[in-house]
Amino acid sequence: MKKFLKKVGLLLLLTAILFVGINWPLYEWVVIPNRMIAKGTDKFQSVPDGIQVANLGNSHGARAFDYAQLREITGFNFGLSAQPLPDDWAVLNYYQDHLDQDAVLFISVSFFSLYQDERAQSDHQDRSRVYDDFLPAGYQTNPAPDSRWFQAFPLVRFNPDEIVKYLDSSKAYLESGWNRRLDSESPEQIRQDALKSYQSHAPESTKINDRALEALDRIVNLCRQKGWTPIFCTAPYPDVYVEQYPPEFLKRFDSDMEALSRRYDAPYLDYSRHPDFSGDYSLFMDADHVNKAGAEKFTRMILREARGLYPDSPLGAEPGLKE
Amino acid sequence: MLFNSWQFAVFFPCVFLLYYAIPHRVRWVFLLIASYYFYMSWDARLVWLIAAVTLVSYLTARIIGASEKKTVRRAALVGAVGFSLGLLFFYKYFNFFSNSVSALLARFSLPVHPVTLNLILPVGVSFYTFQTLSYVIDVYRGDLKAERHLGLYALYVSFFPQLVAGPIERSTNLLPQFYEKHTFQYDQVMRGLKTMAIGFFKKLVIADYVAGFVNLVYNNLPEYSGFSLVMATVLFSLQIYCDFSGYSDIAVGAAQMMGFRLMKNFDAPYLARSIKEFWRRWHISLSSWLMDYVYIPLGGSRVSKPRHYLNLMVTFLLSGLWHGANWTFVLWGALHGVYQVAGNATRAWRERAYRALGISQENRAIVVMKILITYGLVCLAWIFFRANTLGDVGYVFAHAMDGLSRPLSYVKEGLGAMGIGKTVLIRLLLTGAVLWGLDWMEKRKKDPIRWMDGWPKLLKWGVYLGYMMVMIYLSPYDAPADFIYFQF
Repeated sequence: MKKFLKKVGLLLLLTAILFVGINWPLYEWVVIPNRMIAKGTDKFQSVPDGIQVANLGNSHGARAFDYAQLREITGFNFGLSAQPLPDDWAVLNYYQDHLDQDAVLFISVSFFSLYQDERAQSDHQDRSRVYDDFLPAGYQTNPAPDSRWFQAFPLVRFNPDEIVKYLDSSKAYLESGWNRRLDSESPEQIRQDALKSYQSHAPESTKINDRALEALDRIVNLCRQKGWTPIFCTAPYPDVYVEQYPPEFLKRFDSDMEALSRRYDAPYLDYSRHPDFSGDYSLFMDADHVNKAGAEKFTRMILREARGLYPDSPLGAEPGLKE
Repeated sequence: MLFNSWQFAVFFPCVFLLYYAIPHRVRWVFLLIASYYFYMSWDARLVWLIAAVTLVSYLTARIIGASEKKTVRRAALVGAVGFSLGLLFFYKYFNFFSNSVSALLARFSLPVHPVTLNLILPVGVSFYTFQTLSYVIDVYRGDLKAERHLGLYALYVSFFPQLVAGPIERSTNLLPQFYEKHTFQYDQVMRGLKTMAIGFFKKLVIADYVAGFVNLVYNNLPEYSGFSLVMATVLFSLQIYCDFSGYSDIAVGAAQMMGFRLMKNFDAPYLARSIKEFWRRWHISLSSWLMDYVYIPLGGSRVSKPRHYLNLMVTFLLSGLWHGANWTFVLWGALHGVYQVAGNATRAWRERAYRALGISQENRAIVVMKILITYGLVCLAWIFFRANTLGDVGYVFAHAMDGLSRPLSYVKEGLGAMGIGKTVLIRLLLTGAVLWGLDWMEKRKKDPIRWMDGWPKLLKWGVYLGYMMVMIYLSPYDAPADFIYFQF
């Protein structure tokens, strides 16, 4: 029995050494970095210090703000695909020390952001795991049961299919499709895409979700604490997407945003139906996201508008924003 | 719990180590508890069923053994058979029977709403009912004495390695082993472990992998045609063989590690040269059970030719029905019956033909041809086995040859539609080669494990580590997949 147990033990030990020896470096140097590139979270590996303008938000915010054009001030886009307001708070809370004292913070709110409970989404668990690559489990609002284990020892989620998938450096999330133009599709296809987007976004209720409100409370309170300037905003949408929403819903959304703006004493800049974007499909990559050209235009416009509201903010240092 | 689950990875080592740690006289108690725990991990509600089958078969065998009166013995036998088959019919075949009768009456414009029951099919019921039946019949025939020890008999019925998917063990083989005192034998335990390792390779690396492609096609047939249907059928032949023989290997290996010898259930069946030989190599425990308790009592081949052929058809129809309550399984069994009958009927003619042509049947090319033809016939029958409905069977036969006039694109498009590219093909070829190698050695009566034992130590350890890494990289990481034969 001793000989048998020794042999089995030795085999398991050698296997463990081989397994860890091969896969840990593979995960640390190849799989996780490539996965972060594919998911758009690689930007969190180099969050600059002294951020003077930043935004939160889901993919609408992630795609709409492009700070690459800024020359004098430092901007950072904290938006991530499918990021709900509670996770906006989690990310901001973790990276708060990277923002400058007088920073301007855009809190990007989509039509559905206030009403959805992110935990009710079917892909909630999978989506939460995206944060495990860069946000400590203690900061996350919905960590997976094995998040802490994963962050200490990535091989806890060893999956050969994932290794194969992320062996190649995937096309960066942001780049993929960002140069597409919605006007290259047929009107019928555009309508169908808009309907599909609406169907995946339409919330079941128009009562402001408690978790969303709690997250907004925390975000705005932190802003006040740190001396930042919070500004609510909604990114531009093509009219064909907006038309999918019932008028009563849009009315409700507008009134809720007004109420929140009053509650937090923070302005709300609504570009969702802005005439400069609404009918110009060349500025959109799909039925509900601006493309790179649209992002450049929107960023310039909203920063200019914000500078007008807050002339003493750091936005004044950016020459391109002068009227 | 499945063999390929984390629960079993904890359960079995504990059972194995404790088995050798406790005194021999109480080992049966420990194994009985472990076996019932294993069974209850599937569904604790149905443990009463296996207990009832155990008790009834035990008591009837004791009555048969104790009585000299033919009427009493026969009544007890009928009681045991009726009880076991009645339970099997109730849980497994009632709805099928009810729907079939209703469909038949509807054809005669006699609409009858079928009475169906919402029942869970108890895991392993087809296996342990046959196992207890063979015991009672053997006692009735005088082949063995009725077991007096209820605990040991209960262990024979519920012994966890072979409980849910066989091999269907004969009492003459397994029961006496529970009386033997097993001491830890290093070679035997290592052999058992290596047999389990082969089983896990077949199940996890081959069967579960190809299952994805098979299900893709067979669960969405209208979206596929041509070579996709052929490839899915071939892959299913691989899936069912590796799934079932893999399970049997794990069962045999696990039992061997504790000193028990279970019967071999597969013997390189796809290298059979005839359907008759195929059934000597495939699911041996079931085919030998059917031979001993159905075919031979009906007269076997020692009757007139028509009666012989009828016996073959009845046996194979029952085999089909045993596999599942669906006409596809019945037709699968019937087709194999037809193969057997046709093989018998044409044997003399074929032998004359070979003699006339001056060809030896041991000629290598002829042997390869026979193996390929047999494999082809078996695959044809697998269509019935895998298809969800008779309509699906018809679809496969109607569309499998679509596009064959352009052979190259027939194959290319078929593989492409299934998402089978170079990487998949390489993996299939390599793992298939390993499987073929193991089977080829089995057929030549060369023990692959013993053959490997003779290798240099470094090479052996290289293989062990290579095996571990292959299992880590190529095993599926989704929820563990059931074994196909669990549904029977």
